[in-house]
Amino acid sequence: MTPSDLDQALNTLRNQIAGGPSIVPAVARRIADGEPSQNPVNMSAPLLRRTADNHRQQQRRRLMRITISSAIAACLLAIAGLLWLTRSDRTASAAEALQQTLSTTQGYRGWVRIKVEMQLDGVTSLYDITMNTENGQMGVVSRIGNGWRMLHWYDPSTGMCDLYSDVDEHVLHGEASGVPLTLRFARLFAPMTQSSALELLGYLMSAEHLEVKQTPEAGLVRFDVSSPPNPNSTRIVPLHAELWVDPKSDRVVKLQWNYQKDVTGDTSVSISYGVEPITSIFDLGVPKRAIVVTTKMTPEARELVTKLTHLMQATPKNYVGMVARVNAQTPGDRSLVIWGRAGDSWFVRRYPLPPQWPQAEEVIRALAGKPSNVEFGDAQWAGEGTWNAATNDYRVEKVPARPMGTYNPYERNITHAMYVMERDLLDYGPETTFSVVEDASHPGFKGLVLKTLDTPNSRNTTCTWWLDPKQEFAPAEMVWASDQWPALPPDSGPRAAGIATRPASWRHASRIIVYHQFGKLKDGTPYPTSWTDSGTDYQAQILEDKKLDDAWFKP
Amino acid sequence: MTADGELVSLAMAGDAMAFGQLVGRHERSLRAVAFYVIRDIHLAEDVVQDSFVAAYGQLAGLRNPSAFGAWMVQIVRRQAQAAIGHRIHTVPLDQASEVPAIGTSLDVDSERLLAAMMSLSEDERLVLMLRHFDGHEVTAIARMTSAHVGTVTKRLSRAHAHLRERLKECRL
Repeated sequence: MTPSDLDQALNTLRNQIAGGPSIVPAVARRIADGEPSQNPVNMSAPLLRRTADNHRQQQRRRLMRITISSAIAACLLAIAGLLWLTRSDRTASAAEALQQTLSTTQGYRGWVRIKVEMQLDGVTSLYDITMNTENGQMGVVSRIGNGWRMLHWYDPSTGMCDLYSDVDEHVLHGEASGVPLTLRFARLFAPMTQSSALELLGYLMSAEHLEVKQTPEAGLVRFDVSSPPNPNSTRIVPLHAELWVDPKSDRVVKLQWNYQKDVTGDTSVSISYGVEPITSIFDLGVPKRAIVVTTKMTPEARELVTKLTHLMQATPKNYVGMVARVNAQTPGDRSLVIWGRAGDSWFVRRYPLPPQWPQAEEVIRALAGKPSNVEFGDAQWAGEGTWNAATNDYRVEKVPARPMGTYNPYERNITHAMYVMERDLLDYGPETTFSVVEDASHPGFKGLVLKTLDTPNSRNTTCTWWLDPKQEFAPAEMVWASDQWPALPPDSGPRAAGIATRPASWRHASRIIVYHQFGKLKDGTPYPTSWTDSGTDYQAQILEDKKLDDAWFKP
Repeated sequence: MTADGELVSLAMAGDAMAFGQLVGRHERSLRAVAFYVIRDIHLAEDVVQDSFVAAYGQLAGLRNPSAFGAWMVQIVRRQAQAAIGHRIHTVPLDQASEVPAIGTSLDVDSERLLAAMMSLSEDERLVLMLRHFDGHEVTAIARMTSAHVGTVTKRLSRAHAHLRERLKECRL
């Protein structure tokens, strides 16, 4: 922007918000009319002199403070520099120094601002995150491509979330299932809307044959981290990363990385510490004129959500479970998945389905020691499945273990396979409204209706769960439909345009799941043992307290 | 041009005209400050009026009379915050479409410029707004704020540079 452009822009802004007639006459009139009650006229000359003296003294004190604090800062800087040199040269390798830096960075408690620019396949996504790593409060401003700007404000102390987008001038205020997790996210430096920069880097750091170089650069310490490309890998992993560390704080202030494989582009992140706190979504730039629309649940809806959530997450501490599926319309589309859990250890293994519907006991005996498609264990990913839709090739790539920190634990439970639409229920935000209905075609049942309101880059959906009060409110039927078109700006970027060009079948999709039979856990909690999901039949069984060999839990 | 500090002293001695001059000097900048908080031109004007009237009664509390401009910014911010506390509209969803949006929309560029301006340091923002919003020359700003012309020029130059930088950064 040239100086004349800036001058012009300031002039325009001035005319927009500060033009119009002067208020001098109005102020003069009000003062003449006796406002305010306290009049300054009688202030005495000695008070004026005292004020001036105080001012001069304050200036002297301020000057002394600046001089003294500068000297202290210079000493501290010198000491920090010496310590840094001592540590890096004598006691730690570059990789160890970087690990220490990552740990120090994630140990920071206070307000942090993280600005992320991601370029993937020609689409630039921008995230501006301000979060408190102490209490998990988090404000996120995001924009994908040229799509609408979205603003989120998460407050774990209230469990509420505010959502604003440029689509309209409404702030949606309501419960969000992810809010309780924000503290966890904040402490991991993992903003809600993207993978954690530092976690990803930690993952990269755990790769074999890693090279770390450490060099000074413009008052910072630069680390270059590289891992050789893996030609067999089907995953998107960083190939090279650079970090810049402030030697005074030993915290990361900037990092960037690029990817291997067919994903082009890179990501750059800058981190500022001790930034101005955010107290509401309005501090993120929401116009004050915006209307706050409450989407809070009614007590009745909250009760049903709580009951259904309990069903979807209720599994014993120790069990073995089986989910078998047959799609009668597609020959060969049949599979068997064994889920196991022993305390904190767990696994999920996939196998071909035998010709007949199996019994869990028989299956477990037959499959012991046989290779499976996907393996998890010990609360860490020990392998990750990738599926090539074109070739229908399901492969497992061995990757280094990484923490499960930011993933929802319910994904490790067999109920994840039984209530496949649980994401619609458990991943809700203020854009979701809940209502309770009754219907003559479902006599005796309670209908819990979830509607997703118009938000950028998503389709509008309605999901109705028909719950049976006689069966601990277990679902008898779930009807899901996408019936409206999301509001997208005309100049949406490629990703948003991708949504805009989705076929009508995606826009106007529907799914019906009918639950036929239920079993019960020892505590009486029902779980489905037979159901049909839009033409595919399922059978499930849970063997409570069944113990398996350790080999089942290892890759 | 008389320094702000002198006008404050005159106003404290009962010279209402002197206070009127102070109002005229700073009103545009302060309207922008109020607008930034409250997002409503008419309400911002009311807030600035109220702030000047309140300030007139509190001049005795102003420790450094030459810092009148910065002091007024604080008063206006407080008044604006108090005003919006009473006007945030919370409505149930089924009534949302019936409630008209309040206030004034700025285009994206102006929004960004205003936000960037408000993120400047107090010194830089003050000279920038006195120059561009209240229309004072650098020499006049120097006299008003009892600062050297060189200081004001440097601050203004830094303010412009920072503003350009932030506008470049601020693509969200």
